[in-house]
Amino acid sequence: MDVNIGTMPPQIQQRYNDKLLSTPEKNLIYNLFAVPVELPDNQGFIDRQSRYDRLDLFPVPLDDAQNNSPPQQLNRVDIDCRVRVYMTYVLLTRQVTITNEDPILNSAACRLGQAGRETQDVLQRDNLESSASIVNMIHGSNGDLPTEMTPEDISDIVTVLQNNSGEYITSMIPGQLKIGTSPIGDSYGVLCPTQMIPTFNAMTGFTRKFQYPNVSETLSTEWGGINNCRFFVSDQGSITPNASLAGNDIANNFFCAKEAYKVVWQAGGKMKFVYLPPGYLNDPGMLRHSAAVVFYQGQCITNDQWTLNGRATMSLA
Amino acid sequence: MQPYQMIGGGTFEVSMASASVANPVTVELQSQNPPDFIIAKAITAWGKANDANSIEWWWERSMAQYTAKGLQQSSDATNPAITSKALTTLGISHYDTASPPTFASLASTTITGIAGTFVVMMANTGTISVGDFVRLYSTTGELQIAGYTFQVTAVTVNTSITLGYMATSGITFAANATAGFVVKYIPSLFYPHWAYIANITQAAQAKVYFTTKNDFTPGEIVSFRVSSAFGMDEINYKTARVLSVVNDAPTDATPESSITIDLDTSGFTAFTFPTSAVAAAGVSPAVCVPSSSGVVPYNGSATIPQQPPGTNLQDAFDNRNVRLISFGAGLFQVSGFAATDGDIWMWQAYKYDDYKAYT
Repeated sequence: MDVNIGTMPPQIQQRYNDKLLSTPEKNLIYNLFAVPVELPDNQGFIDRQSRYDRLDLFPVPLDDAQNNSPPQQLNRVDIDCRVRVYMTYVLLTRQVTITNEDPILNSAACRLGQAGRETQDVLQRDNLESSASIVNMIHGSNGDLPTEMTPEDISDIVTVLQNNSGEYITSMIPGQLKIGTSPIGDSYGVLCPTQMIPTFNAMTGFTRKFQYPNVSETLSTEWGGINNCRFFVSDQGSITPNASLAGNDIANNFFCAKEAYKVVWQAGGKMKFVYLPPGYLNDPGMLRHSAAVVFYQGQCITNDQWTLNGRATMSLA
Repeated sequence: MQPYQMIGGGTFEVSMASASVANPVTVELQSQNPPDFIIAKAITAWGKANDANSIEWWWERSMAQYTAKGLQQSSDATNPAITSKALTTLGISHYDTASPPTFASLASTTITGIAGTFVVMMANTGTISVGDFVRLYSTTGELQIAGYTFQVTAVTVNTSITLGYMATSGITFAANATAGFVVKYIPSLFYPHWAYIANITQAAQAKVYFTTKNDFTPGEIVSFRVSSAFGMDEINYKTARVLSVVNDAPTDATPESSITIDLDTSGFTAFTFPTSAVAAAGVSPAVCVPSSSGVVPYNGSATIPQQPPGTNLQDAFDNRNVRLISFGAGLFQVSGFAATDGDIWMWQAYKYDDYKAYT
């Protein structure tokens, strides 16, 4: 038999490289500004937090008789948040784990952890999409409603948040003597889908992250800032299909002030990786492993005036 | 082995809108995983004398969603004949509401806004059934509701759908839409959800109407986002307690979705939709958003609390997404074999341990 490449058996032609390729991982942004709350065990599954409303001001002085004025009514509102349980798992036969060359259970653990974290983020995204009040972008020029996002729209929303006494999340990044940089004001956080990137890049006055005077306190998910807002993007962002006046997809951009929303974790239900070796779950032949990830989470808006969904279409005119 | 073979089952009752038009049936499935095989069998009609009826429908994973295959029995006193049928639409489907399927847009010719009946004329109604959610867009005229979502309250197949909750609100427009598109969608069940406002009355205890069934509960505190384009901007950013809720079924003759709130709007500007031209120039829709939890009222009273005082836990923020199986209207309205209102069926859903598709 001739010895050449064509006659080599497959095992000789191939080498298995045990350096695994990277798995795409989504940007996790939606819990960035959530206030973390722990629900103690054995105290129910609905977390209630309360807020006392502001009292009226009292600019009128007492008269000379110094009589007591009527008392004010102290008012409290409650915000309830229900915690739910989330779980998924993979089942692997022992034949796979004793045959495969790479440590497949390790990979399963990594992927379960990733799925768990991405699910936590998506839950918060869907909560904001469901409950945050909506504002259409209207100052753009693409002829749709909402229009594409513009600096004027962002100013309008910042004004609303300021009118509602919403506090900034990040502090100012003052200017420095560095070429091509620009100072960034105190800012609200804005959580956006990655489809918004072309809009940001085309927006006059938008400061990209690399133009910040100091990038030491930024995240990899941040894209830039303008008009007292800093924008974070995720490839599992919130999109509502066919929802504009002209039927285009709408990007839901969540403008958040400090303490606008929260995430609740049960003390005994924080994310866990659970591995069961062969022999469990009606497995008399010890043929199957299982690996699971489980967590208990609730999420809610804590002040409806401090988070706004700035809806924008993504097509530019 | 896991997961279990039979992952769900039970019974359901068929509701007929008329002698020949059925309403779809939706059942909840506990399993996170999609089922591989779904079957439903008639309990009431199976073997019943002189009752031409569908008696069995099934779907399995190799088939397209919204299709089904089944059996019908003829009307006979003793020996009904069995025939088979395949449905290509309005059959069996399954989905989870957190990541639902999407649907193709369908063209409409007219939306009756002048009369305030909000009947959408459509030569092809697709898979739209009573209770489904739809979104309008690219309308010619009536741009004030382009992008809005509605719940369907009546369907005349391949003729029209009715947006009954909008109609009951009492709002009328200056002109009809003469064209547009309708897209069906399945909403996420994160709770509570903001709602499009269809109308707000001027009253000592205002009534707020919505375009779909609403999520709000008595005692809940809600807030409003109403710009001046909608007239009643005095209510913008105001909060109010929900005193009572109306959430009629979509099959109701005059379906209403509304809340009565502890807020006097009698001195406010009347609520009205902007004109189509104003909407096209750019407005934000009028919406009601969940705000917080309040004291549960006694029978809708603004002053008397429920006794003993009620703490509203129904308005807790929650993820209520589920996996559902939809038994479409087509299963129960096969020509000549239509179901009878109140017929009972059983259903089962299975997951294969091992599925091999040989070709």
